[in-house]
Amino acid sequence: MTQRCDRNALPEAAVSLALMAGAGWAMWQAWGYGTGSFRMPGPGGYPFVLSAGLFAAAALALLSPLVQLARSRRSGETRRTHPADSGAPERKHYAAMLVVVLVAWVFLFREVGFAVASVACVALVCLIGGQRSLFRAILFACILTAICYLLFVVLLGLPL
Amino acid sequence: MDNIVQGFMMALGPEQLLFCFLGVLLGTLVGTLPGIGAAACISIVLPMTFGLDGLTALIMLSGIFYGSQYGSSTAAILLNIPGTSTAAVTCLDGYPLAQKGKAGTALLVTTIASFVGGSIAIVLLMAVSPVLANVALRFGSAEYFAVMVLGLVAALSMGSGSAAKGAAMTFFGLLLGTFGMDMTTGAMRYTFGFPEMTEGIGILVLTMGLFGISELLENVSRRHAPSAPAESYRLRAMLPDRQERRQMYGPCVRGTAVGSLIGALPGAGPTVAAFLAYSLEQKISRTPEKFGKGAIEGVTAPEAANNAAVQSAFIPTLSLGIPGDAVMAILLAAMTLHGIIPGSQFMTSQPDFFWGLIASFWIGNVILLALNVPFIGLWARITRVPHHYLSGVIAIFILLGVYSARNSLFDVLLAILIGVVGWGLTRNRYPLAPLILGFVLGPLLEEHFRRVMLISRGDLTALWGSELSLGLLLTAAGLALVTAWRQLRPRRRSASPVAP
Repeated sequence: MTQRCDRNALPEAAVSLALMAGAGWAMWQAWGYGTGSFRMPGPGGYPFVLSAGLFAAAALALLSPLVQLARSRRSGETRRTHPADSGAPERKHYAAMLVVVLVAWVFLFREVGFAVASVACVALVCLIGGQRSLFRAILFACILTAICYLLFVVLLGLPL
Repeated sequence: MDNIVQGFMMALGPEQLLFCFLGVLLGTLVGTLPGIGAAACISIVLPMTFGLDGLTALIMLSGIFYGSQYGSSTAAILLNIPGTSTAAVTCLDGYPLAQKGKAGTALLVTTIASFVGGSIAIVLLMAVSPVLANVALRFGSAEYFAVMVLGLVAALSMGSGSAAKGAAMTFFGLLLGTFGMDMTTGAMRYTFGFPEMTEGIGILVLTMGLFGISELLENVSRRHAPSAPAESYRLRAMLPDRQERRQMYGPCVRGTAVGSLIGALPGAGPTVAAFLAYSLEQKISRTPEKFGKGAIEGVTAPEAANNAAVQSAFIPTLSLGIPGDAVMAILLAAMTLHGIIPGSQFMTSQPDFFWGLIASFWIGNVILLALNVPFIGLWARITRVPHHYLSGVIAIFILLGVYSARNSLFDVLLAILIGVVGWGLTRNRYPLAPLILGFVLGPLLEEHFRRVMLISRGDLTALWGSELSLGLLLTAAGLALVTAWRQLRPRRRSASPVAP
């Protein structure tokens, strides 16, 4: 039988679990650096304590979504409305596209230089952000890139 | 008195005045535009200040911080969207006032309250900081360790939401602060084999990622609310009438007092101050039913409080070198990047710098008053700037800003990665402010802890060996217990519209 569960609690639980996993890895690494003693603390001592603290706090934070998941399974509730939710439709794939564009800027910058990379990046960000006219997006990108060139290269002397 | 005069002489220099103006102008703009906060803006602008001298750079960056508080009420009143988190409470009565056709009056009242709150808190800053710095001269490593622990615990206890998540973010920030070479032993920690990580994660990379890129991702992933209605704002129509003026005085004074006190505490910030001031006004009002429906007191008190808190937040940062919130942590990092070490020695070793900065705050507040009152209509129109253009500007400034700090494309990729992580954390209600505080304080905390251990030959009790450090650590423990009790007790169904 398929169980319905709280859609907000699942990512919250996943984040807590990811933090716990990261903290566990950090503890293992810190142990390898050498924890030393109170008299002569080693390079791994302080990070080891912090990782343990992160692990414990993330485990505590995991309790809340687990309780919500259990409750929602009992009541059959599928979505909890949080005050932070504005009710606006979510467009997570737009965020993913933006990340791709930002990463692409880095590689374009290395291969073809600042101007082309920046024009392409700004135009694409405008289009992702809701600009419907390609011409306006490119025009805006060209103007902004020229301003950035003046500011960073001419005024601040940055070698782009 | 001589110091104050000297400070004004320095702050009134043409270059300082120009950058103070640019800072508060940019701050007002950032505050007015929902979607980008003061933390992100300061991070983006910081690399551009490397060519300036330290005082001018700090005048500009601080101007962005307190300028954003002025601007944030515009979007809150006109759009019911707070430009920054501190203006969230202004929405409660500001927007209903706008719906009643009193948007101009609400904007003017908030500007005046902001000016009064900010100006009085600057006087407090002038009076308290030297006293606190004198006390801090007697601090040893144990006392500094205790103050930092107290600051981190206070930040957790004052924050909203889950304390466990806040604690996780504090530990995460402290842990990120250990990345790179260990200065005592020379050992590499968490560098993942990248030589670029030898110096650890740069504060710019972290803040641009956490605040800049994550806000950008949040902006494009949501459709935005409608723009402000086109209205004309004439000064005569905006002036509050006699009754409204009478309603302003008390809340303005009380809001300033609450804001000055809360802002000076390590860990508490302007958002907490604004909510507390609003709650106080609601509780003592003879007509509490008016709150939430367009009460003048409901916009005056929080605006006076958040501006007072922003100014008094400089007290622990400048006198102890311990930031109270995320923006102050970024400003502290900016001071370090400009070769300025705030703390107990700061006022005696660089009095010109300290008093120049303080004087610039008051000059900045006067500029803000002049900028905001006659140009309210202009700021209202700015809320109608299409978000896709804004996203393009923010994106390119973040990319170039991160790159320019060390000419490193690795840093840009790291900032993007941090931005994605930060976005995931904020979407799941993990607060980012404790992370930044932890990151900034982490290396100092480790340094003082190690020093105490080396001097005391591994005796842990040396951490609470003096009365002062014992008192501070006991206060931190008490705060932690209160926070834990508050989280664990059964929740009552609250009818109050306000929850910090």
